[in-house]
Amino acid sequence: MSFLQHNSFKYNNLEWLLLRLSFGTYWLYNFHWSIWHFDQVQVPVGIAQLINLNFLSEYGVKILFTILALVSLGSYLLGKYYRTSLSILFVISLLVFTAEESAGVFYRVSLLSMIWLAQLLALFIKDKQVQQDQMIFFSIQIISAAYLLAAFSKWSFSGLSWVYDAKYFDLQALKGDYFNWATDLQKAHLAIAKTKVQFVTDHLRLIQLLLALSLVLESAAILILRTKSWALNYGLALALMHLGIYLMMDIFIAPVAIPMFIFLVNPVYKGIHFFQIKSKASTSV
Amino acid sequence: MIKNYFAFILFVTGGLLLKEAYPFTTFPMYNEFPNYAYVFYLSDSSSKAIPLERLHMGGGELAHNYFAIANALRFPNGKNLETEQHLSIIGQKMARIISQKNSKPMPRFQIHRLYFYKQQDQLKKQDRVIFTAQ
Repeated sequence: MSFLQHNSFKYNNLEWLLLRLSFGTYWLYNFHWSIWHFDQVQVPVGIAQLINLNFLSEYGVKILFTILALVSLGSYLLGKYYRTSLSILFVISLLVFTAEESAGVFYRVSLLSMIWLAQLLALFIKDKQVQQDQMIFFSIQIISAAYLLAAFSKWSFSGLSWVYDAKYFDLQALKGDYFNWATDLQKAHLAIAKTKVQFVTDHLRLIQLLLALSLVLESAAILILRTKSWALNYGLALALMHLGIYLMMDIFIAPVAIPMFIFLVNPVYKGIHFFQIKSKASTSV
Repeated sequence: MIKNYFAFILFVTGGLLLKEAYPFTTFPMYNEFPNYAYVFYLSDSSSKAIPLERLHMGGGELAHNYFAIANALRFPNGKNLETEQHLSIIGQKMARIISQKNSKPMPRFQIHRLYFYKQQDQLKKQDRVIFTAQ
């Protein structure tokens, strides 16, 4: 038996529907925010170096793209015309998020467009049932690849000093609170920053241990693709890692963490499933 | 095998080859813990700090603007490496972004950079005006 068992990634129709609904809603939220806040390309990245994306600041274009997004997303959620709807979703997602990243703000929304592309690519598999599972599995592959790339970046940039340099972790930790202070000038942020700096100084070994665990978790992210249950457990472990980063550094990279949680844990389906089991148990008593 | 893991191979290969070309990326966030941190804030003509939220911005956004501009211009940045001239050019571009985000004419403002670093385990801070927008 192969180490990576892609055949274990089987999903029922309700799981697939709730994945589509969760991810589609989250994508729409980001898409809506990005297109309606976009003013002008400041520092072109990706395809913005080839095409002038300033046309996205036109009111008419914003309306057109919003309608395209809603219609395509509706069709996707209903499970109709996947090829057309996913193609449109990928293209408008690519244009709008490239424009946003070219405005000098990096919300790290790369995963969102790539997930549309991955699902579109999965449609080229002939068997219909396998196709549905492969759409989900390809999305999971994008998430696994993202964490692996993040680990690769740390290894190639810092190597093991990424763990050793935890002595400078407090500078990064205080930065987030000072950003909040610059935003609203509330002095409470500065007090939190001071507490964090003291915590890092007092618990340097603990911080180094947690950083080492995070690096191991990211470096081994290919294990997400081992089986469906491995993906679930890995998703929970990564969620804990993101929670730790949020508590210490006030940083939550939502466009990475939320799709990860949706596709690896599928929290809405798990919640419904949990209440179904609970109500069955209570009616049988 | 390749067919079943095509999305994984595509994203990893694309990221490694193309680096930061959206939607490909290597996710370089916090890939090092350098001995410095920059924070940017604004002040008015009487040197009183202005909350960025009043200008429809946030502290993180202003810092991202700074590094995006410095990297695009290929100016060495971080650890207080920037020259006075480079800081002024970056500050001017930052001021333009701030003004574009606000429809009303902006009064005179200054962009400050807080430079945090450690020296013999002691946390140090420097506050420097990098640009004054008239």
